[in-house]
Amino acid sequence: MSHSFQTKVQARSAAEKEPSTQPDFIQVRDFNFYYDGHKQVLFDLNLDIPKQKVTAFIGPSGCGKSTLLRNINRMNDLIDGIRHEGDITIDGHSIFDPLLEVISLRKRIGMVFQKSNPFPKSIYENIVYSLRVAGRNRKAELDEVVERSLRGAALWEEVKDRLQESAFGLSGGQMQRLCIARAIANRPEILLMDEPCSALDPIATGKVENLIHELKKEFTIVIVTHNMQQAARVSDRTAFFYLGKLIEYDETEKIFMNPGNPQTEAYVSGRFG
Amino acid sequence: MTGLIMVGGVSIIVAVFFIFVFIAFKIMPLFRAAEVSEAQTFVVPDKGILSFGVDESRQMLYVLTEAGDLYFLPLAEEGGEVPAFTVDAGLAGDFELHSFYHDLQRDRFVLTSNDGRVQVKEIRFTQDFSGGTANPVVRPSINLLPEVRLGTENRPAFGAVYSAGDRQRLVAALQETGDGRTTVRAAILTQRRTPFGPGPLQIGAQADLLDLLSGEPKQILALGTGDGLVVAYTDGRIEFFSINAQAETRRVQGFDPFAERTGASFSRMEFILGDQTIVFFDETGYHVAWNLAFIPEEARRLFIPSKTFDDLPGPLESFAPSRRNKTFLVTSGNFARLSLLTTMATRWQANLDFDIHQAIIAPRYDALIFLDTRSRLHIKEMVDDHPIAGFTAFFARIQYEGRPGRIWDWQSDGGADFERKLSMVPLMIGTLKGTVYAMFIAVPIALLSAVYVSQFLRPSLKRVVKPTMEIMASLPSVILGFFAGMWLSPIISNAVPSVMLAVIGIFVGALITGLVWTRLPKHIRLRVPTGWEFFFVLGPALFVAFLGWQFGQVVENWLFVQYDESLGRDVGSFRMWVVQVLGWDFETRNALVVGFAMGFAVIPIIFTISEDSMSNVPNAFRSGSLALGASRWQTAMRIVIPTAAAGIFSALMIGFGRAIGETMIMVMATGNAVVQDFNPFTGMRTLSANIAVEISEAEQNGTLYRTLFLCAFILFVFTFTLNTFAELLRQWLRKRYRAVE
Ligand SMILES: Nc1ncnc2c1ncn2[C@@H]1O[C@H](COP(=O)(O)OP(=O)(O)OP(=O)(O)O)[C@@H](O)[C@H]1O
Ligand SMILES: [Mg+2]
Repeated sequence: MSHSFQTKVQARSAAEKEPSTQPDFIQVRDFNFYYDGHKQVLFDLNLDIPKQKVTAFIGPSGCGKSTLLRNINRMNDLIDGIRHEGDITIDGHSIFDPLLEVISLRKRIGMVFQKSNPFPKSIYENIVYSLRVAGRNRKAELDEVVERSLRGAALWEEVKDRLQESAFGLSGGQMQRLCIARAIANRPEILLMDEPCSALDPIATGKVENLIHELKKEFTIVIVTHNMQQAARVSDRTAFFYLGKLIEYDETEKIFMNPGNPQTEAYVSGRFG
Repeated sequence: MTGLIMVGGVSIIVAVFFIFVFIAFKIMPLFRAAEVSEAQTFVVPDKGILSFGVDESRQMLYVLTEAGDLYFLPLAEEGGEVPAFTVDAGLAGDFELHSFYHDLQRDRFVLTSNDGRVQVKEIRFTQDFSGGTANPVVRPSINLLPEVRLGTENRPAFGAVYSAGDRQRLVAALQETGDGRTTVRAAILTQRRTPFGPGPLQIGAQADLLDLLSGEPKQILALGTGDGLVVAYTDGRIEFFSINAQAETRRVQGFDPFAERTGASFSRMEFILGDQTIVFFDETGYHVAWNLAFIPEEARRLFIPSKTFDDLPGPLESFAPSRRNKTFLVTSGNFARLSLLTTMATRWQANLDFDIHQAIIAPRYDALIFLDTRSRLHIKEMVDDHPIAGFTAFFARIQYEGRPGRIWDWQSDGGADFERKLSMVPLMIGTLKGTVYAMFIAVPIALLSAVYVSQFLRPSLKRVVKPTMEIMASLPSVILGFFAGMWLSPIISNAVPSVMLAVIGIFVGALITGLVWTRLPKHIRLRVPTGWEFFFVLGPALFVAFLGWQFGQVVENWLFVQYDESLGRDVGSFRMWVVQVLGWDFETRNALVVGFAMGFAVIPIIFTISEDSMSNVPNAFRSGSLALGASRWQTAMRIVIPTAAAGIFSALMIGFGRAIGETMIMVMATGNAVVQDFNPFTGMRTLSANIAVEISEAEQNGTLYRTLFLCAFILFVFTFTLNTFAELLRQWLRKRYRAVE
């Protein structure tokens, strides 16, 4: 069964994706997570994230949104002393399978960080980084990927004449879109975004939000945000976390218009602690 | 607060600048020419002076007159006439002075008579300090050697020379023969040892070189060892003869010092201090030096051409060697020049306002004394503290006395028969050699471990490794040097193949384990937690290294078999193989040992700084790269190392700086022999080690003392240029890989 997952990963990265028949693409089951061996930050999470939809994680600071997000592509592995219970599956396959190589998992999952983090390289090299590390160096292919990704991130027109210049010459909003372009360059299936607009002005934020609308046609997007309007504008489903627990998870409209939990209501209406 | 920091920074710059200026002041005198002051003038009685000399304290002149008398002239007040007295009985009534030779180095006259007799008079001065004044009272005396009669025809002799070597004493002179030719006759003087000290000198065997001569001889010189004669012919050819205790004479060598000058004719030849070098003058003022050198192919000492000097404006009139160093004073008309043999440098020259009859260098090399043609004596005080120093001496290849070929060499303890060799070049090469070997061993180890520790090792282990390394950095280098010299060097030198194989074994072992690792089934591989793989590589790598060490002996007995004369059988010895087959030198304390020991000193520095700079690469870059599916190795190579390049580069430069200046390890782990090659099996002498080794020999403000400052200065310039260059490169790297603010 691990084999089928592997081959599927490879096949997917190259070929066009057919719409999945399975609505619950990412499944989180009875998930507990601990830092430093015992410090529990996630409690008994159960959550299904549908394919090619935007799912927003909201909740007060420190409630574990980023921790859950970083578990999905196992970025938490880098931290000493972590421990988890329960399981997360993608397309029915556990990401904690000891026979799964983390690198191939991460190739399927793009990630955009809160603070834009372009590499100290040219715009071009930033975009093609994921291809180069996968051993794909054909110039024609790279050129094509750069244009497609930059167009996908609505940045092409702005930077097409300065692809060889340092990425550090871009504005903050451009940098964040560059990071999005970089994350989608190798055609992942899932895009994780951890507060992608928190450092941006409203105009740049608007651009990124439009972008998310475009991107969800192709990608399954999970976005962490503190901005309620943003969550309401861009997401299809919203999960509200509090102190490491999933309080409410539903259609975005429902969460904002008619929350089932008083805590959720307090939070989304801005009356929270 | 900022003011305080400003003051601190500025005072550091001022301090460095001050050190720089201080060192510069210390070395400046090395490059100064001789300073010669205005003359002090005396009038000496006109007695027909042939030649003069002076005592050590410059209080008393001695002169030889045309009549053959020796006078002593106390030099009291300037300007006045100098009274003369003599302690000499003069020449015996029938000794009619025909020629004289004045040996200025030894205050000795060799006189010849019209009837073939040779007399040697040695002037001695005793200094009496009992008067209590700063200047001692000088008392002259004369030592008369037994008279030698050359040949039996009682014909005039001239150009006589006398040499008192350690084993043989020789008197020789030119003498006219009955048929109008000139011959060279020599006599051996013998001295029997008696229970009461050396007995009287006696005249032993005599030789007549007439049949050996190939022309008309004009001048002869006797080697300082008393066993050789150099004969100059009127046509400028020179022949070199050996003579033994039985006065048996053999021709050794013939040459023409004026071969480059057509039509030149010989005028004079003289020894420089040490009697190793002869300066030959032709009649136009052209002069060249030839020195004795051991020629390995011939297995004997021959004269070889060594130096050429600027021509004199006219024919040579007076020549005087120094008895302190290898300078000599030559004059022609009113022109005088002080030259140094070793570097061919002109220490001083001038056209004086009188015509020079004779000039000498004061015995203490503190004045030049001229006798003009009108019986006036001019004493010019001279300051020339460092005659042998100068750019040529420090940086050029020089043909030294005693061995053929122009070389760079360092040998600070010179003397009469031994030229001081002060070349900086072999020390600079040694410095570079030590540094290169140290870096060769330190850089790969330090950088690889820094990459590993910062990028791969578990943080919990890293917290142990880093402080350990830092402790290593604080190990006093004298301990490292001591261990390297006493313990490591014999081990390494006796088992070079084992050491090599062990080192190779570590890498090969690690590589093989790594390969096997990637081929391992996933379920084994993935059970090892990230960051612990090291321990699965370490064991096999060490094991392979151990095998290599063991196998080294086998290899030695198999590939490097040499015949050992002392044992009388074949043995496997890499050391003998290097010496006999490669023809390289092999020292126990060699560059490999230095490399290992210095590696120990440099590794922690490079490691710590480069590890820091890699750890300081923003985590956002690392996680960005990992999230894009890059492996940790790819992340390290493509993101971390380029971003940390400036810091890694600084680490290398600081390590380099440490290696270049490192002293104690160099002093203790090498033999400190001066070498000029990059042979891994010989040691080296570095600039810094040289300072440490020689400092106890250096008399304050002496030539060696200042030359050691020059060593320091060169070291300073080395590191300064290196650091400036490194800083520029670092700035450029930093700009190129600037992290986003
Ligand atoms: N590396 C870590 N080691 C230990 N504890 C951590 C670590 N990272 C996060 N935590 C803790 O885990 C909890 C959840 O953190 P997390 O970053 O997931 O919160 P968050 O919901 O993303 O908050 P924010 O909205 O402020 O980003 C916090 O209490 C935090 O202190
Ligand atoms: Mg967060």
